[in-house]
Amino acid sequence: MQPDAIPKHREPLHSPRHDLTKDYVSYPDKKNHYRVDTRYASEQGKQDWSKDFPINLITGRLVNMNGAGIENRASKYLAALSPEMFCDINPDLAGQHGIRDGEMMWIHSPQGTKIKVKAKYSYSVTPDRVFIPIHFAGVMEGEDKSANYPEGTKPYAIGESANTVTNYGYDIITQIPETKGGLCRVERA
Amino acid sequence: MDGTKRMENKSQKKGFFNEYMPYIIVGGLFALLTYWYFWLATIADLTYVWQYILQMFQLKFDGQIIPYNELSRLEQGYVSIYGPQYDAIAPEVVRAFEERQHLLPWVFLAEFCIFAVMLVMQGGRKGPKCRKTCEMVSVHSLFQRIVLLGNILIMLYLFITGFSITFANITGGGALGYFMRQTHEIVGLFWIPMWLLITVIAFKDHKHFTRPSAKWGKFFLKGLYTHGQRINYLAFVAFGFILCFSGFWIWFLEPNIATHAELIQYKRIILFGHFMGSAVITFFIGETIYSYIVAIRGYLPGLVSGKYPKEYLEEFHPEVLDGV
Amino acid sequence: MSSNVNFSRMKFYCDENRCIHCDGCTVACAEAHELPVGINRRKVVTINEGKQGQEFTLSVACMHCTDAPCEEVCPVDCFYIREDGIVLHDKDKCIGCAYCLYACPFGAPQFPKDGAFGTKGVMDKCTMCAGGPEETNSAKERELYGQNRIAEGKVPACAAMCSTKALLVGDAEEVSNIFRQRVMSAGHGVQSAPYGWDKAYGK
Repeated sequence: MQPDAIPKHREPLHSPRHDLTKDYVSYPDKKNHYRVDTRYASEQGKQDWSKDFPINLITGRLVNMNGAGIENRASKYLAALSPEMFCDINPDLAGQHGIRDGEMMWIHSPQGTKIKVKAKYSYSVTPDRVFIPIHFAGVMEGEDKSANYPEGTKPYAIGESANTVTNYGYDIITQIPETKGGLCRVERA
Repeated sequence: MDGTKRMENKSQKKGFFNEYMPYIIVGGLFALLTYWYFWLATIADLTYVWQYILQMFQLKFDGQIIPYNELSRLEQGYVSIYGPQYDAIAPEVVRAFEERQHLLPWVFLAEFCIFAVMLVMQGGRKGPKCRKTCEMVSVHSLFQRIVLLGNILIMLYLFITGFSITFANITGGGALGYFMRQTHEIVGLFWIPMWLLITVIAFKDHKHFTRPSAKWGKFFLKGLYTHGQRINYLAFVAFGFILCFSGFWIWFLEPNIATHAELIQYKRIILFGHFMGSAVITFFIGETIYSYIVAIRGYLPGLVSGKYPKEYLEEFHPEVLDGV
Repeated sequence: MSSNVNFSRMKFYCDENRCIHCDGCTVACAEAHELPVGINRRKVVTINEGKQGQEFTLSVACMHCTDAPCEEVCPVDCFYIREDGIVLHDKDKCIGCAYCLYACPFGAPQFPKDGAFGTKGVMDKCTMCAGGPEETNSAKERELYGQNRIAEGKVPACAAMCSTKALLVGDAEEVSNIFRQRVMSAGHGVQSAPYGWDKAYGK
């Protein structure tokens, strides 16, 4: 029955703790989930995702932006507070990959997508994870797509979209995508 | 401060002290001035300044001498927001802006009096003796003339607009003061390559180190330096460098509240240097002007036409006629 | 507020235990005075970000100091200090030499960067929403200095906007009382005065 009548822990599909996916298996694959054949347990058990993608990918909000950011990035003062897409990365983790503060880095997802963002050293993330804000758009896998904006509508701040690298995974009832938990691999650009 | 000894006209053997007296006098006065300024007159924390300069050689410019980790939470807050150790340099800078502005006219008056006394002591200006129709010898190439005259004009402009602060202090600012101030920065930038050019072409002492070469030799100014002239040249190079270096950074490091804490201490020490450099170079420029216009060295039309009368050269710069 | 309050000395106070770095003050000030994007009259700084127990945030702008060093060094004397302590300046006199910036312990003076060859323009800084020497609430004053909220009896835009009431502005005694109350109810802490008050007001 879905969801579990008494909530029980089911490990995320792409989990940094692959050993737990054996004990806390996800739901069986659901066919015709809003007309989409959605994978659960098969995706989870397909391979040890954490081997190639060891870093926990956290997405979240910035205080001066809202939603997809199209309104706030077109406001000059709000855009000036966060003018470009970045990734909060612990200095120790960055040091392991040779990423310097303010330099560009790649974030690779298990789906095969990647984004190129600026590294921002921060102790507010631990070395096993990185944080990326969700409000940016206009750049795709390192390429500036802002020429596609209609004349005069380009916002002041553009950047990579976090959703390019969020991982496969959908809610069992609503099919809402799992954007808050996932894995990634970081690399110096 | 003038070595009027010509090499081949006077007796050959002079004692070390007689020969190098100008350097000894100038060096001694300079040491005295430095002692007075740094040990008696300044209210800056000199220990801090010295440690800061040493730290800059390690390419750290924020002025944080005590490591950040050793500060208390309160102090860390102050430093991260307001910049380090305000009391070490800023009060001296504040004093330079305020109190010393009023001293400046007196300093210039004193300098003027020194030069006037020197002029009287040597019995007035002696112009070059030249018969009615003088035979003119070409000394400066067009390139050299452009550089020399350009440098004179630029330095004159910088000198006047540099005192836009003192001037505005008296007149109360407004559009003229604003214009002087802003153009001082722009023209100052143009002076940087000019200073470099003069430093190169006026390096007459290269003749002591290398064989004269026809190819490169023509870029350098002709002739040799007397001791006094050499002192003026070295002062121009040294203090011009300080002014160019500090002036560039003052212009380049735009005031920005976002980077204030990291850069402000560097900006203060640079301004400190700019002030000092300008004060000292003003004296030596005055001395140069004195020796070229008032004393007997100068032949001003030659700077424009590039040609000097033969008699003048025979009397004062015979080595030029010899092709040195 | 009692009617005996004598607004003799206006001060800013930012409570670092309440400030959440929402930047509301920064944006409110920029919006209220229609500032160009490079000029930040107010900035918010976070110290020791991410370090447990050490992180705190502060909102910083002109402190309107007693014996203001900016006023002391200005060669054209374009500063004037009101009776209530607010430090203001005259942009028509200012020659853009930036000495006030060198003398300021807090980095309050700002300069637009759009002059020819990168020269500085005339100085701009937080006015505590008290305008400038032009006629109060005239169009010219608004264009040069921004809103004059003090003349209308309103709180400066930044403190009015503060979402946590971390940023307070007002008469020094009132603000000190609030500070004391907050420190005592917190039950700990050795701070005797808000950040910057000893440098700004000589406490």
